[in-house]
Amino acid sequence: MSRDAYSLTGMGWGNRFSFQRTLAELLGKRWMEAVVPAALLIGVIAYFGLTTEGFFTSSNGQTMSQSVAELGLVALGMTIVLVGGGIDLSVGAVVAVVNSCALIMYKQLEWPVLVVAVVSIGIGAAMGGVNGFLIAFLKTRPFITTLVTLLAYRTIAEFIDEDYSSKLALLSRFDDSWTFIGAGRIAGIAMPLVILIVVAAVIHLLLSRSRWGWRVTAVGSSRTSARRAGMNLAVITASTYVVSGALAGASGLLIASRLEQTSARTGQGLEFSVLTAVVLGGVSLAGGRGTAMRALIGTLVVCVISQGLILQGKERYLFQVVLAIILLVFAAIDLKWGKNRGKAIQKIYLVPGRFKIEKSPDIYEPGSVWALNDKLTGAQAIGRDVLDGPEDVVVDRHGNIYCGDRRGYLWRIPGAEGEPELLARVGGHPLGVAVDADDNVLICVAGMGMYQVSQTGAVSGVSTEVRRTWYRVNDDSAIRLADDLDVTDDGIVYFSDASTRFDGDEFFLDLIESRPNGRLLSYDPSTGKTSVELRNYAFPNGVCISHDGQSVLINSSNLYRIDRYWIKGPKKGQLEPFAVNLPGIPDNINRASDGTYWVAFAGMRTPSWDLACKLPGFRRRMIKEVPTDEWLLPNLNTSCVIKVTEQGEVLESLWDGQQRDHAVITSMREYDGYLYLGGLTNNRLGRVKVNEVEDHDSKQLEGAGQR
Amino acid sequence: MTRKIGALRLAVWLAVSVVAISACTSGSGGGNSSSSDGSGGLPAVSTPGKVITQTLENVKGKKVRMVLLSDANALQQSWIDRAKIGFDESGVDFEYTVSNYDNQVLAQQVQTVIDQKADALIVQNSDVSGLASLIKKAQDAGIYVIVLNLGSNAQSDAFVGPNWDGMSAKLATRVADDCTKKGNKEVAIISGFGSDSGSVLAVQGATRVFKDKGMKIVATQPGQYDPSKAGDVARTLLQQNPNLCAFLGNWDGMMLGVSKVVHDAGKDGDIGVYTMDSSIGACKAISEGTLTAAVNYGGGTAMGDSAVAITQYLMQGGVKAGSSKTAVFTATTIIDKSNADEPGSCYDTPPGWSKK
Repeated sequence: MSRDAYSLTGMGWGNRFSFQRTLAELLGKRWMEAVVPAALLIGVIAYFGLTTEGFFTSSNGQTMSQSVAELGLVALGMTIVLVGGGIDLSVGAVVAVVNSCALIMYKQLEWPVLVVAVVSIGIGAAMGGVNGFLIAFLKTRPFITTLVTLLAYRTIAEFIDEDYSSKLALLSRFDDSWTFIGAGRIAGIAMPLVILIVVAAVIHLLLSRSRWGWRVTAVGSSRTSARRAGMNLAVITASTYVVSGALAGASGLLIASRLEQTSARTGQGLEFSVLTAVVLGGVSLAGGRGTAMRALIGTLVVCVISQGLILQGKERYLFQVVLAIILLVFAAIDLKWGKNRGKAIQKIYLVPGRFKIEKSPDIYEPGSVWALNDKLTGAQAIGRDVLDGPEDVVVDRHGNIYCGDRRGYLWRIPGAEGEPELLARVGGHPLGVAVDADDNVLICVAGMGMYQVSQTGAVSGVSTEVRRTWYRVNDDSAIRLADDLDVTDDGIVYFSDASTRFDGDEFFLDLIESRPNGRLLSYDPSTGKTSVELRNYAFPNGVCISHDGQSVLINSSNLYRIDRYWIKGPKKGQLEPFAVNLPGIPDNINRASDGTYWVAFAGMRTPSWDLACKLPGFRRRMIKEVPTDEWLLPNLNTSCVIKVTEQGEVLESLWDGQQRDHAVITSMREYDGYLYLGGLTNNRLGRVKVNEVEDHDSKQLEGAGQR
Repeated sequence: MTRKIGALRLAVWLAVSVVAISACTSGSGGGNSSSSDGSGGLPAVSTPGKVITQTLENVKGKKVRMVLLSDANALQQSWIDRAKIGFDESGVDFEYTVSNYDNQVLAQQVQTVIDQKADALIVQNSDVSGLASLIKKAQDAGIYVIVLNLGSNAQSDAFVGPNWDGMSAKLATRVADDCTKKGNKEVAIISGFGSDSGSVLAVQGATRVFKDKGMKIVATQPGQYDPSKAGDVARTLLQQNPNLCAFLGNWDGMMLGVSKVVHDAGKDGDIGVYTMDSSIGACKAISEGTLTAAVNYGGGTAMGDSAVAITQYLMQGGVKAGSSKTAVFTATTIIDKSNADEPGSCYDTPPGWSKK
């Protein structure tokens, strides 16, 4: 169980929760797209359940399951066509033709039931194939084409009806397997429903897992892109109509088996019900969006309304009216929802919070340790104009210097006079670096997690996810903003995940939000597991194992403090303040050769930001009303390095008085009497002499086993 | 002529009563009504007042459901009207639904009546075999099934409607006689859906007579009980057969579409239009000369009452559902110019018709 660091913010329990944040995170869920249809389904079920006698009976369920299956099969076919960017209006007529043909085959020709079933579905597929051929190969418009085939197929159905219906009506044949299709049961579930469930599962897998399904979605989303990606548009498009026709055929077969009745009116107006169903389910008429589950939800809505009105003894006309009204209202809501959901999330995702912050110490007091100096001015530049934004720097036992780069690179520089060589293209935004006992470089990559780069440049992920917190709406299993790390003698890596809500390039949004969104993680190479040590920590940045290896020091950039987290000894698991109310924004922290610690201030606190921190309403208005580049942000360009004792006392500060070469200092490492300086937006590393003693034992090599 | 129609009604009532009595005496017993030792719901000897009390007691709260293809015509409206009045007065819980000619909905509605465990189902059937299995299923569930007007292969507890074959033969004989007088032998038959029993039997009866009388049937086509559809069929037939003598069809609502086409073609009187059923529109058309003759088969009058009577009988009689398979045919009268203006020749939308 991880330790909760929320109390460090100085705020009460109530501040932990934010309705707005929960809402924003809920809206961001993929399954929320289906929330309106699902709510509608629950709504109609509740309505009819409460107002209609006999709605929640098993017999009513059985009755409904038949119509659900017959409509559902067609809806699934329609969904595939719609996802593929088309529309199939001919389904109702296909159902009518197949219904008649199936009965002719069964009653008049007396074919075996299996043959009747296969041929029926085949006829449906062939009729769909005609649609597909016209639309995909002759390039006719789907709407008008299937409207025409609707009329054509309906005429065929009428001809068949005229010639056969009176004959068929007088014929009768009994076959158990025929009756079983329409009225049988498997494990108490009506056969049509079993068929529907199986077909829905297959369609779901096809759409979401198969190459064909992905291609259909791609074609429906953007024909141009799909063509450029080398897909055969014609074949893919045509195949969707064949599937739709086959499923309409299956539906016609079910109806034939259940009603044993030919009629030119079979399936009349079905296209309307089916389109209503899929649109209610949230399948987009514009293509590229839709799932089998959604089609089923929509089908259920339509069938519940239909059956509910029948139970209430209402006029059949009313069904169409109710359906039309619901469709109209729903289409409007769904359109707005789909269009504005993203915008809404964007607008409300960032929820400014508040920390209790003390007044900043006066750094202008004469003779204080904060007095501006030129100790860092004239630092030797390493890799000038080659490096771009080396946030952190580390030196291994051989004197090789490593640093990340905001372009996603990892550099190796063979000594201060060497030329930087590109060790690896890691990707993401590389931040903290460390070297382990085997000379592998461990690197925290914002947006990716913790990675390892070998001396040959091979990149592998070490820790990219943790177990998800079950009560959080946002999936926090991914490590979004891995920031800095350090390795114990046992090889356990402690590293910070500065924010569970914002990615690397949006780190300043987390600063603006001022909520404890970060956490301290530990990775144990012996188990390969990553666990959360501290949660609800405000922007944990630098991480450093103490000289005695008993504790970890963590910088909170947002709370201007450093904390000590005990990992060994009697105080194991405890969190205690190390240095609080610092006048700057602590970034990285590392050990110094004399038993103290170096801390980099990415910037100094300003009264304006300190005030803004107390006013969440102000920040809320700012992000809403002011363009991003005019936002008031924490100062990140007046940096210094400070030296802190084991007791947290600040001994001295080192400045580049000119604020030119090292405007931002986000990290520093001491090695062989020199201090190496890294900066998030600098174009170089810096190197200054800080220690005259050339004692090899106190080289302060970084990393496990290299101390 | 009032007396004639009155007699017609009486005949139907008598028919119903006779069936009722015979079913009573030959009833196989074993019913839901345990209040008496016989198959009926009344004691062997009782006072008239007690009979009323006892009868109403027996049917009170029974659930009767009527499922029809439509309620947009005077025919079905009359059935509903008579049933509502008849059942309401005896305290029966009566409701009806219509399928708007949608077979899937019709089946779903019938299934729902079964689910609701009604006591009796009165249904108009769109296909001879369509509801067959559901009718059996309803009877197995203990529901009396009364099939109205259009019969089913599966035998219901009672069929109430015309003898379509006989009625059609009667009308066809008239057609043949009229045409023979004109010296023209070509006739066309327009049926309803083609697969409903009314159509199947009407075509059968008319065809038999036409063949016997040496008529030439130029076409037999379904008009879907739809005036415009039937009108389209008639228009085509007129063009193809300039010597056509008459159209014979099995429903006036549909055949009025045919008569309009004949009228528009300026062939009133030259080409006869003959139909079964006689709503007010038929009498009006006969008076205007666009329709030649219609058959009053009690569709808007006796049939609804008969259905109520038989349903009441079944529910009181205690016969097991599905055990008394009966058919009651309504009486038929041909209406033409000679009697079209007589009261009772045609029926209108019931007074105060309201949907629910």
